[in-house]
Amino acid sequence: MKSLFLPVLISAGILLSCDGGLTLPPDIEPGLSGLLTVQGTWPPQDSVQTLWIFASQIFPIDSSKVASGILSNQILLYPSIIESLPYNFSSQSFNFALPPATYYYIGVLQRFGDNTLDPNSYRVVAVYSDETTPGIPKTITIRDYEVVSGVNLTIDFYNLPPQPF
Amino acid sequence: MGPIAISGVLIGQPIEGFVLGTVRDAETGQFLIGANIVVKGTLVGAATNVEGSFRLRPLPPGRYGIAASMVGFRTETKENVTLEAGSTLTLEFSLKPVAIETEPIVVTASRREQSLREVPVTVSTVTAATLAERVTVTLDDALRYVPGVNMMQDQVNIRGSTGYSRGVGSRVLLLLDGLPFLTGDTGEINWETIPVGEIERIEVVKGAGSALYGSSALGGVINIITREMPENPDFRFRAFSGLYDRPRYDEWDWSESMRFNSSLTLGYANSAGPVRYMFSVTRTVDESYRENDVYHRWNLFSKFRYDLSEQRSLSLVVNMLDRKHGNYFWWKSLREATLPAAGQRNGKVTSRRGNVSLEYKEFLSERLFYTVKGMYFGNFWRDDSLGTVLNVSSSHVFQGDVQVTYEADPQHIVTFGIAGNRDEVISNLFGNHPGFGLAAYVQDEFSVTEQWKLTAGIRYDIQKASVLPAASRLSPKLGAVYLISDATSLRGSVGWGFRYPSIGELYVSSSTNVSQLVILPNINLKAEKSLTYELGMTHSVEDILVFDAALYSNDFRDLIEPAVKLKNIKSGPSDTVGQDRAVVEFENVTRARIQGFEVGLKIAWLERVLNTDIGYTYVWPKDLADQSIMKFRPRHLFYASSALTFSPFHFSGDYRFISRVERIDDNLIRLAPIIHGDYRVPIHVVDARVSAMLAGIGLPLRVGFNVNNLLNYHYVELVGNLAPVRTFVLSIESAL
Repeated sequence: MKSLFLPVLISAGILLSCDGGLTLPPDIEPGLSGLLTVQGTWPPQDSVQTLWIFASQIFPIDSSKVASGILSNQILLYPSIIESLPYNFSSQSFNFALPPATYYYIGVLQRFGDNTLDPNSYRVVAVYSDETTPGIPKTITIRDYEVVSGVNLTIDFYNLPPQPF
Repeated sequence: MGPIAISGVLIGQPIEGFVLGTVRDAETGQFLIGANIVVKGTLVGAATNVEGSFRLRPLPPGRYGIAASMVGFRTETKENVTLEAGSTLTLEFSLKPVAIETEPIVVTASRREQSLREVPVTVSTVTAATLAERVTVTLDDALRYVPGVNMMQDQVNIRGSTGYSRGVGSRVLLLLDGLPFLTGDTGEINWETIPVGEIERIEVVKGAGSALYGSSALGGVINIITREMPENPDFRFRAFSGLYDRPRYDEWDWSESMRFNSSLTLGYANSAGPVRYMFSVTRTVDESYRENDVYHRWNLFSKFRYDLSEQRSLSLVVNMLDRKHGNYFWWKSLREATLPAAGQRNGKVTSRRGNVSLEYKEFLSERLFYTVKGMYFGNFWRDDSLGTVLNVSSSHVFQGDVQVTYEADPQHIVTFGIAGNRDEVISNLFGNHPGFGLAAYVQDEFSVTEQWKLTAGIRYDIQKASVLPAASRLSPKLGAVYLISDATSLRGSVGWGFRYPSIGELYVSSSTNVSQLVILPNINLKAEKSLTYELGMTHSVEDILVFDAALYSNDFRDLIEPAVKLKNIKSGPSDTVGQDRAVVEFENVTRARIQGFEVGLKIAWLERVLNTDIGYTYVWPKDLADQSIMKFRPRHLFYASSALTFSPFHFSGDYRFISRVERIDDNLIRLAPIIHGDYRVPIHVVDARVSAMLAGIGLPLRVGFNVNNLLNYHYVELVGNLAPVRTFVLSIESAL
């Protein structure tokens, strides 16, 4: 039976050396993450009614597409449509959960007027773009289980990027 | 002892003599069916019939060495047999069973039958018995256990030759009974067209083989030899049913019902006078362990042979496949690894493929014969989504080969011939294109002494695709074998290979329905070239141990790779800006060198009750353009098989290890996109099986139970494609 020793040993070694192979990756909620920075001073609090990070699958965009875009989840807002970013921070990190898609226009939206239905109550105060082409929106594709990090946004209330409408 | 020279064979025409006889199993005394009889040093041979008897073609008087061989038995040679003019000589062979086959007969390395130890390149074989025992469903499954071979899903790699090229183009040439069997449009191998039950043997020749077989034989040649037909009535059936186990993770357990795969083959063979014939039909249904990966398949196979005389025979093969299957490209994500990606859930493919092959063989003397072969190979496929047809392609390949084999003298066997092909592709994906090719080849096998055998050959090919200029290639080869003793031999070879780009690679143009990728044509592609060197040795100890080792090096130039990248695409002449799109374009991009070594060991243990077969291949595939490891090539391949027989039971198992693929195409993952496409692990697969012959209880049946992927190990061969989970298979087949 000595000669059985080697094949049995090899077989046992093989069986013990194998784990289960591929395992489930973590269930990551897809989205964007980055740092939001405010350059310069804040305007008076009563003019910053609401402040959102937005991600839009629609671009170019005009005022007629905003409401339908929000209702159809093609334009998404952070923290949420009924919540605002806090007032008077100098920088804060964010994790913006988004469905997998390509987003052509990402930035920060400020509502400064009282009339929520009036497009003239809103302005874009930051746009995610390349350093070489400031103000030109940069596209990001988000896939399942993927968080695109390093999406840093800089708000300058007194030096606005090009407005969409 | 070599053959005795026969004088005056072609001049003077003396009265010939006859050799006939029987072959038995030396231990049981039973007659052996299908044993090979060869007259050494000549081209004359025969096989025993169902009664175990044989009859050679008439031979001139003289002294001969006549050998009888069969898989599983030691070859027996009767030396210095004297045949008188007009006499009949009766020979009786008693072959002793062996634990390990040391000198199998192969046909692919030199386009003629020869002992493996006389071949200057590495050749591996897979027998029909192995295919049956493993309950092999398609040919690619059979190749997963051949040393030096690994599959990238359905693309075959011999020592790292192919990598992965999206199913277009193959750097391994598939032959069916010696004729190329690649599709006309994409130049790829379709494994399912050949029914496994009709295969006698698979031979895998490693290294460049274009000197004999032309285009595509860069990395090696796989020859499928269909089985011979018996004289007496032979009804065969084979059935199996397999059950897929649940995967380890509930997230992958997508189906409420158990998933099965099953198959039934019915076949009949007989003879009527000089005509032998056989028919078989196979129905296979695989529900798959993945969603939209189901297939339904019909295979019809028939073969006829008409022995016009003892010197002349005519064979006809008609083979057809009809298949419908889901179009599964890659997973939705690794968290949903058994579901297809979005857009692939409703894709279906319908394909019909088939070939008609004709072969005429005539012996003009015992030292001269020729064969004329012709084949039509037709392929049609169509894919659709929810009934909307997306792509349709059909191709028609006609090819012919006339080969002459001549034993010029006892030292020289010369093989020469011409081959040609005419192709037609009609496709919305590749366009409508004709193609044609012509080739001439010659080879001389020179026995310098009893120990030294040299081979030199060369082939000239010219090929034209559509309106593109014709391209030509010259492919030489040299080989040497030194037989140190009956137990030990050395071999060395150098060979050139090439592959013309397929119509698919030249002309494909598509905005795919399965991803964001756009596929672009490239009519400027050049042929790929390779140069293979190999040094090897074989040593055997009786029939209890065979050791084989080889060092190899393959240099590749102008490798055609599918480059996945961003490219600015303009919609028309008025579009001056264009748009960046993710594209796939086939390009001559790579200079590469693949070097390594291969060792194989076959051992019979425990007084030859337990047989073990081990193979290890080290592959170092270096991309010389960027000095990095090539994409989609593993570095280590290891296979081990063991079989134990306690009559009537037969236990066996296989283990397969393939190291983690170190480099993949990151752009494919990013731009397709394939979620979690970069997740991959080393491959460890264990298969186990037991079978029993029921002849002892009066039933001519063999039943088997297999567990494939016993450890339920989860892995990918190809990015984004979870390999089969553990499967339990019950099989039954006739064993007359």
